[in-house]
Amino acid sequence: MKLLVLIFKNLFRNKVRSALTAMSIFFLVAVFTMIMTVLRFLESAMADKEKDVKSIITERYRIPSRFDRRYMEEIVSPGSTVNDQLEEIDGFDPQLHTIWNFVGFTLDETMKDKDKLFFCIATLPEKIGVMTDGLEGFDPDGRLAELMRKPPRSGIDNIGLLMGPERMQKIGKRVGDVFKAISISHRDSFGQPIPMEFEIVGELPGASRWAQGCFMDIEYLDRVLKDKKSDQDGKVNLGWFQTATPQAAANMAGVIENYLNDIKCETASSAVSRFLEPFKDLFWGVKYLLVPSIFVVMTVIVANAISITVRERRKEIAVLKVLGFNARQVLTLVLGEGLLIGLIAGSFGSALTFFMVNAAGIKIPIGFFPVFYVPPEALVWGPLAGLFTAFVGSLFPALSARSVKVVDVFSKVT
Amino acid sequence: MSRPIVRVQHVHKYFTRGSEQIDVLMDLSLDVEEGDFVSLMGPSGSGKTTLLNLIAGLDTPSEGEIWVGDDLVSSMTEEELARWRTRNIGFIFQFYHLLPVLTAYENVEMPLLLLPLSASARRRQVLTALELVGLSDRLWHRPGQLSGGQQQRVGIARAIVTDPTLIVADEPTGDLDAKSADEILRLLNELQRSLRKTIIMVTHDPHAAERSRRIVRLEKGRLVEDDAAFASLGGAS
Repeated sequence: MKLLVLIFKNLFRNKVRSALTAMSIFFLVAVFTMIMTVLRFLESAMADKEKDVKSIITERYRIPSRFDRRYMEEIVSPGSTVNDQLEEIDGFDPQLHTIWNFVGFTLDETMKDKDKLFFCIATLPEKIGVMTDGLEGFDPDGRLAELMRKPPRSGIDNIGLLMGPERMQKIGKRVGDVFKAISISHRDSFGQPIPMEFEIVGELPGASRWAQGCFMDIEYLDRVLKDKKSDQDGKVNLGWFQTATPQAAANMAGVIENYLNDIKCETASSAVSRFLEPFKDLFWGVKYLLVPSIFVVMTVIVANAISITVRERRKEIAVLKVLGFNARQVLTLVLGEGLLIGLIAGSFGSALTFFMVNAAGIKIPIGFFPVFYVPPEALVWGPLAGLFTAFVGSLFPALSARSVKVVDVFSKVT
Repeated sequence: MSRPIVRVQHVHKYFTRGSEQIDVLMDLSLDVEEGDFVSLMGPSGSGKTTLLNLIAGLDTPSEGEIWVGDDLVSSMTEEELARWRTRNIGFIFQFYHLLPVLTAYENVEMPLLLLPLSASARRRQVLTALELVGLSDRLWHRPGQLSGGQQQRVGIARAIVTDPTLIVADEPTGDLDAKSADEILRLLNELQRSLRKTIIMVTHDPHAAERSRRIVRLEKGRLVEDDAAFASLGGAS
């Protein structure tokens, strides 16, 4: 215990050096935590699930995907050839599907203020809590879905919106607000933006990647596009299915692609993998070059600081040996100092990243992923990364301290 | 006369530099009796500090034997020597070598941390040692807040706190002004007299040596004069 106190006090011997070393580890652990957060999320998104497998329907020949909604109806409507074939697949349930249309809006009529922009997924309201990753169990009694269809304030059918708290804050709205917005992604038959009216009827969970998200009733979009004779009427961007097993998903994809040549069906993980394919080398580089480099830099920083410390304290180490400290105790003293810096800086590095991203609202947006929440495991990664690099970095200086010879340090022949 | 507590028998110590052998101590024998206060004197390079280090178990002789009490120090491993030093040797350095981050109390407590003592026993011993050197009012001062003389007194308290068999001092007054040096030497005399501690001190200073009971002179690694009768002529009295 007293040795620990001495280790702790030694940290304050050269405050500037300790602080700089700790800051370097702190910063690098924060970067490491962010990288690991993104990599872990993408890996889990690309990993095939064993049950409740999500499949995604997209147009085969065009990116971004936009296909005729009748394809989805053929898949789910009883009596169609495709549906008849699909019904024979064990684990296929036509009810477990939804459709998505991505719609961009602005509150600024001049369309210049980027802060007034928001993007919305037009979908089937009752499927939001069933088919959306990260919103499983949301709206269990369907009350919010019903409000989306029958908003209480405006009384206009289907104009209800569900919006994440961060998005609401950004555009200065709150639940109950009724407002007008202009579609920037969908145009009328003259190519003009379409004004629409909305009422926010509920809030998406804040501590999720939907904190900036927004859902609208697809029926409202269909109605408006039909009225405006938009050429986007009757089109959807994506279709989603959930099957019980990977085998059911594979069988379903086989049937759909066999009968409906214009669309493509693949598991969500495959779709994400395909989407991220061009970045594969980049991810490889990040994982196997950047992350190890961070560790090497941290190790070198610790090794440098502790080596200087040992060189400066050779006399003191010799004195400890004179007092009776053995080699192991000296090793513990030096190693302990490095480990303590690593542990403290690593813990703060990951804890602060966790807090900044999850609580303080500083996001890491990459591609179409608006936010990567730092998982609680990161609170363990940081200290471990700090400890590991501190251990490796301090080991050689500690071994050199351990082998300090008293007579060499006080070498004088008198 | 008391029995010898330190027996240095035909000790030879040499270092090698490349192919060259440098003899530092040559066939040196010396007995130090329990409770004695011995000064090792001699010109630079005569081997005083080397002899002191060998007796204190900080180094091992190339040839010969060194006994301290019933322990054959010269044959111990480094690990055994470290353990042995904790219990048997109190070392006083010329430049005090206190740990700057620790208070006087904590510096004196350091050697006790290596012994199986309760916190209260440690506290008792530390307070006693600091009281003996007259620093009861400086317990929580750091070395930087103490004068050179006071730091050396903390060093002495650290040396005696484990109640060692032998106290070795390497020019303990070498860094002090005359007044502080005199106080330190008086303190060493007092420890030797009242606690019956055996003290071996390396010094260049004839005045310091006069405070001891016996003066041993070395030259070129050999014992050239052993003023064992010094005590009877009034030394250290």
